[in-house]
Amino acid sequence: MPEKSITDIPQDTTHRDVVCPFCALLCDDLVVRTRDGRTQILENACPRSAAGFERAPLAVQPTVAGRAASLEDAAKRAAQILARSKRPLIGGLGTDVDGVREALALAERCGGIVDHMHANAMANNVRVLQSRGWITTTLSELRNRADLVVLVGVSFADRYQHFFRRFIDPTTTLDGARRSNRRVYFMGPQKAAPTSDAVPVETLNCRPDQLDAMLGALRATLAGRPVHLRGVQQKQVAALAAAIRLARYPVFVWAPGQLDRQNGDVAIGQICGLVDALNVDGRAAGLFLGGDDGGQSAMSACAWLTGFPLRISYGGETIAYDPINFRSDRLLATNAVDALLWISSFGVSAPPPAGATIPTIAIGWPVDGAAVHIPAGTPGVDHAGRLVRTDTVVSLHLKPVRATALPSAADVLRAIAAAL
Amino acid sequence: MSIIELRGGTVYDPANGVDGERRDLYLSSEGIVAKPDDPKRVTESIDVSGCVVMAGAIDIHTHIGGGKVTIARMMLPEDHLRDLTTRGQHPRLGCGHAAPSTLTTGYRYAELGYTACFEPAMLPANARQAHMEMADTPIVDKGAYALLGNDDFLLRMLAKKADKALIRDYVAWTLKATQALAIKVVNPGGINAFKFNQRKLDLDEENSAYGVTPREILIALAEGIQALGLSHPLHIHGCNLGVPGNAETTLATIAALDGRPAHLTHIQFHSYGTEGDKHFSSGAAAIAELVNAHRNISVDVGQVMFGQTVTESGDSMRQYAGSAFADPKKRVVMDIECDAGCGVVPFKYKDQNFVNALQWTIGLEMFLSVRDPWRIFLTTDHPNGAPFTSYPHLIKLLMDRSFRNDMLGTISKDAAAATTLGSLDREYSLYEIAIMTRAGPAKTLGLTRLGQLGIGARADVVVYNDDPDRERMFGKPRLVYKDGALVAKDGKIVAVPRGATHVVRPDYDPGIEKQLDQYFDRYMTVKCANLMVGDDEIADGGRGELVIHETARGA
Repeated sequence: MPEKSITDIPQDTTHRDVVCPFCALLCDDLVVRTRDGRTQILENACPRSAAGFERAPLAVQPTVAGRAASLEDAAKRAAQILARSKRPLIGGLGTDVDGVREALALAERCGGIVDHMHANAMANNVRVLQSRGWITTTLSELRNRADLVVLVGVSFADRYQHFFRRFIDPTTTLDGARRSNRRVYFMGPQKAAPTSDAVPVETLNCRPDQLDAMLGALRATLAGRPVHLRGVQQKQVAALAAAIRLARYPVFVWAPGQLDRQNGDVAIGQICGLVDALNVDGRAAGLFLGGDDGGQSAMSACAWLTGFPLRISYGGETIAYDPINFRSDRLLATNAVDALLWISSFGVSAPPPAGATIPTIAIGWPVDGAAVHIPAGTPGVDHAGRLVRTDTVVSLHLKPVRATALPSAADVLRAIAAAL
Repeated sequence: MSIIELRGGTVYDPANGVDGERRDLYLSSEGIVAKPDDPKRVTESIDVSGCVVMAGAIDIHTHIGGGKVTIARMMLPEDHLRDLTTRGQHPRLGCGHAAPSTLTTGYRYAELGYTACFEPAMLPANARQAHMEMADTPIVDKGAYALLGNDDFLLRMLAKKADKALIRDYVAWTLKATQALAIKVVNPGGINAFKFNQRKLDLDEENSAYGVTPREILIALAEGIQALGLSHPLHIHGCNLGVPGNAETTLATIAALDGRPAHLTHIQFHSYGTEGDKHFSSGAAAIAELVNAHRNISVDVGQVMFGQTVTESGDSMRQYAGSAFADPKKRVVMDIECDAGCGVVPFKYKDQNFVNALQWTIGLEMFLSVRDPWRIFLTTDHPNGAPFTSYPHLIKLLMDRSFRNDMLGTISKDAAAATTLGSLDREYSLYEIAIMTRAGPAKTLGLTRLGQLGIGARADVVVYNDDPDRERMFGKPRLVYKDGALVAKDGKIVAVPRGATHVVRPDYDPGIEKQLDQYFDRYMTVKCANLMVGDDEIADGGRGELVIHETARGA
């Protein structure tokens, strides 16, 4: 086990251009101060980042069966559990690229299945990617080129909270006219509509499970086909279609984790079909917000290292890819796995699916009843790390903002692998 | 220091003028060394008499790392299922074929005797991920060419007729910020123009937003690179890729460069005429003639091979146009970060399809018609023309005329009738193959210790059985050494070093950084400082090695 050296961060330090790891926007304009062991965001906080940065670091002490143990003994016990397991699940995967790399290496050695806590949401996207593909854009393009933005059921209540400040209403853009003419529409329940002081948001009120029908109606209207909706909705769709026809770079934004679970991929397919149609004569693009808690990093790194996005298994002679059958909740509910290694290094909000009665190894945040718990730091708070942003293009190098003795999840996974 | 002696091999080392001479070689972790005075220092002596010995091969243009490659991976599980590796086959599991996993990419390249691979289209906005993927591509050395010429920053500078020194500084800054070895331009100005709904951009056509032409972009970048004294000149993926009649654009591009050094990549895709009933014909002869006459120009081919592959390109404009031919029917097109774009389109080249078959002949015509092997490099533009695993077959096509003509007899009759390929008698020699896959790429990229077997070179060495079937010979070398250590034996990986990352870092006036900081603060969605890929990220706690090559303008 490489001893974690306490990084040389003085007692009172202010860090600029800090990257926030707590949602997949990876805002990198935070100013963060650590003083007397307390970390605080001085500029550009949102409730989510504030909670994340200001949370006290985990206690460093690992435990085995609830009792304090050395890191070495905890890693040994974890290795023992994995070695005895016929089919372990490496789940959670709330970590950075290095953590994903080590998780995959460990899973390969012990024949495990690999999943991420947000893989259900991301699978909505992947189904569309693998069946038809899409035309998408990235955050800087949105900021500078979009003259119309359609938010398809996206909520900014508990994440992506700087979306308006940074991309919809920035003080400067490459094309000022596009910014000043920018129109924003929201499709979804009125009560969930985002509000902005700077930009009026026009809402097309509908239930979440009606989004794909609304999108279908919008496509039909744009294609000049007859549409039959309720009076108000029909009028609103017609108005949006008219605005889209005038726009030079409309961007359609969705969050795969916030769409209806059963029909998420249908709505995404509708958006992508709409964008395709608009690109025949003009330009338009889609953009998705998702892959929090290291989710996009996990998808991307798993894809480059194995060829497949999640979910995969190393249980056989080859890598097996099965986004449906390798769902953590399903595996745990049907006792298809006999050990669980759960990685969660971004916060307490990510416990494993209920019903885990099998031997459990928790890395990062604790899990109730875990046989082994090895605390690990948060990338970009306690240690350096790299994360991939929601648009799958930009990745950022995060640096620690406080000194702790916590290892990274990657360190812990390496220690377990060494003990196997 | 242990020394391995390779005894009595037939050595092809064009960088040192060695053409099939019987030589002994001494390999160490430090590099190729002279025969030690004390024979006891030789820890292992291997008889390789009768075998062909060359430096490790270098792929000058292969899409191995970066966002578009990983999009292709995610999009094509059905392709991976054709070529899943099995336990025990390689040190780690993965998949191969058109969009192989990084791990399998490294193993397969090493199995073929390749020890260095260069990713030709690294978007600055995506540089960090490209390097992470390359770091996960084991065994081979790597490097990348940073993409410029569609970024709003440069186009604004050109629109404002910025000082050449400023453009030069920006080029140098980009090399440093992205840890790049060279600069590439893709459809100059066209990717940007596509964001403003232009669907084509000829050499002298203005980008509607900035009023800048591809010609101006090419010249500005070529001159900036020349002023910095980079070894590799501007790496150009020109206008109008894949468009019938684009041979005219290519000829005009060479003329526009007006003697400035430049590399025209995957030239096969830029060598199409419009003759014949189908208005699609070979423009290879005229282009080869112009390349022969212009010593400032080098090319790589981007040979097409028949079968399933996927095309991955920064050229969103042309990839969007090409999506009509997607097979299977899906594709991704992206506008990216006011920086560039990308398009990923699966494609199946069919030998009975007139256009595909003619593409195959055009590539081969180009190989056989460009006379100087130091200025033409062997590529399939992996995976755009074909996966790199087809290289042994391609080498056989170049070295064996009767095999080539047999293959010509199997393709679309109309295409076979339309090509001059059957009349081209040239057969590449082993010496010429060693130039175009080793010495030539190393020379243009400025990799002084690679692609050669002289004393002091890195000990990347390949030993082939001298099999008259050159496909079999190049498909499974007997021994492959990386930095003096055996990494592959008879096609089996035996060791997995990480491989070094090659970069250049010419000096620049730091004034440009202030401008960039402001620009990023005003318009981008990352801070300039956060875009930059640090040396520590490449070094990765001692697991990675950074090799900084000298440039005329300092390092």
